[in-house]
Amino acid sequence: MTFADLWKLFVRHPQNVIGVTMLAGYLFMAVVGPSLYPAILPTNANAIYLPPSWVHPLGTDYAGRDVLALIVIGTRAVLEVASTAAVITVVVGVVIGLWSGFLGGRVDMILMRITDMFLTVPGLPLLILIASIVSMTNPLLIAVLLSITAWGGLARAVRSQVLSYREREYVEAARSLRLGTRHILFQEITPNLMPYIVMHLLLAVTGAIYAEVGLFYLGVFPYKSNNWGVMLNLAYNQGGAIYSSQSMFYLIAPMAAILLLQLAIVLVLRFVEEVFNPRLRVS
Amino acid sequence: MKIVKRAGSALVMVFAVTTATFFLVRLMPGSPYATELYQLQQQGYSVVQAENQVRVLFGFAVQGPLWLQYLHYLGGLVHGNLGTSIMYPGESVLGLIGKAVPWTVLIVCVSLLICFAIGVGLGTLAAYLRGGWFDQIVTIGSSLLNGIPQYLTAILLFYFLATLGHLFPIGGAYSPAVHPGFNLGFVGSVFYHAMLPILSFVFSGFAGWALLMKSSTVSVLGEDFIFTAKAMAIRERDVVISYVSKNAMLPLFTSLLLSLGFMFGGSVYVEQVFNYPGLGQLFLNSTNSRDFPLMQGCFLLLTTAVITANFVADVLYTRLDPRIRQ
Repeated sequence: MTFADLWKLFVRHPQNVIGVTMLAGYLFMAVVGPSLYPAILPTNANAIYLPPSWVHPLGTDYAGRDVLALIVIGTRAVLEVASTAAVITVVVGVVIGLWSGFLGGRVDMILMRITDMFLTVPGLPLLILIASIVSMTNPLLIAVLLSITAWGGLARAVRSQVLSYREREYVEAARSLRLGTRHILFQEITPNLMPYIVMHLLLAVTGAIYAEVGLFYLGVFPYKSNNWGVMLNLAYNQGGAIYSSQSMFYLIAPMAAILLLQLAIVLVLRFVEEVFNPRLRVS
Repeated sequence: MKIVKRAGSALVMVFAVTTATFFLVRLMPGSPYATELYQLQQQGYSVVQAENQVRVLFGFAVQGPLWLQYLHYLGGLVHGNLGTSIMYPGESVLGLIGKAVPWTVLIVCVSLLICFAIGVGLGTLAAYLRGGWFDQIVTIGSSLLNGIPQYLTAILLFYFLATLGHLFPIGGAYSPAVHPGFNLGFVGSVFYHAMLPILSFVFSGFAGWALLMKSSTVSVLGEDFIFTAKAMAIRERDVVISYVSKNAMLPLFTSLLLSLGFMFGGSVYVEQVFNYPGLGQLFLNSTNSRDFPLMQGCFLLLTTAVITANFVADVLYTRLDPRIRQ
């Protein structure tokens, strides 16, 4: 597919443009956003829970800080952890799925037993349990934790795909040319899985965002910086925001940020699906 | 024979999780023994008094080497003894869990059934009207709502209907004014309090079922036997009910049991928001206050429930679908 084809496909549905624009907006907020605001946001005791205005487009929080600024600054924290977690999830899931499916036999059995175990244990309680044991101050550590409960499904799916691909003629041909396991796995089989992997990467980002924000909301992770989950936590537990209608924007803003991001990802996902699956384009 | 083998591997899984949890929890910085000792001393107990107190509270095994503690714990487990809670002195873990479980089971099961019903209905309709506006709305809406975390729906419902709208209570499982027992006031109060937690689950859960049912129905609609049934001029309604729905729902039954794990996990969020005294809240409180006998007990129960559900799903599936039995 040439770039022109891709562009034609892209502009054919307005939702593709909307989705990609929104996602780009979030990325922009994450990359540039924090540098637009001072490191410590000014507080103002006389301006708490203000309604939206020109100065504060989304109102202010319990300390008089600008809610929009909190959201923008939080984007980086949220996306940083979520995308790292998604990459780890996908890498672990794909590698284990590939090895398990390709090698078969005892390795397959052991790997799948382990995968099953991670799939069965209820994810959220496990995350809470581990987070309460290991002190989670490092974003990378949080990302690793979030991916612990997420890679199992992908590993299983990749394995079952590999099982069907490894009997194909071109793999047979590569094997008879003695091209080696690594070549067969990564040059012959993996390209077939690419659409699946890309789509799962996007899904893993959403999953990680949900889990991350939720755990911050529950107060399981200690927090130093602000992010959407911390905002929700403070709004629910400490600011008393949940009991007053004045604080509506402060409470709704982080949730809207999550939902809009999810909307953007769903729309982009549909576009990616369309790109990879020509059958969807016909209708 | 296959069932016995599966049951065996389920048991092994429970054992593995028990062991893993035991040692994982023991990695926690500051043993509960030391923490409690420190707290008591902060409260003004002398060192000896505090030590005595702690000894009574935990029993002696806590001080022994790790493997001895482990054997002690396993021995207790076999006898149905999960230890005593630290957070609620004098209460057994089993008793606390026993009090919390019915509430969680109530909200999880009711909402799961509602989700299932809504999802099957929407999914079937969307599959029949595929390509139309109804299908578009259901599919896009569902993929948006699919897997939306329960804390979002719960907080929104709580905020608008309970604290701002004053339509629903803001906590508890039933009103303190009613007497627990089988009477109209109590049952009514229980449902009144369970309403929003259930709704939170429903809003975050039905979409997944709708998507699953739609794709399942679409694939059944393409089968030859549906074509034959239509060719034989069987009434459309009968085809839908006895040919399409039955087959399309088959894969959903296993998912029903498998999603229990997700639902039980989600109960942590929902119960925290609504201050609902179920297992999820008990678990969260126990981790916050480092009450690890209780934490371990809750986690063990959650995992066992999920593993059992998996096992039942496996067995049930082969029963429901004779094609898999070979």
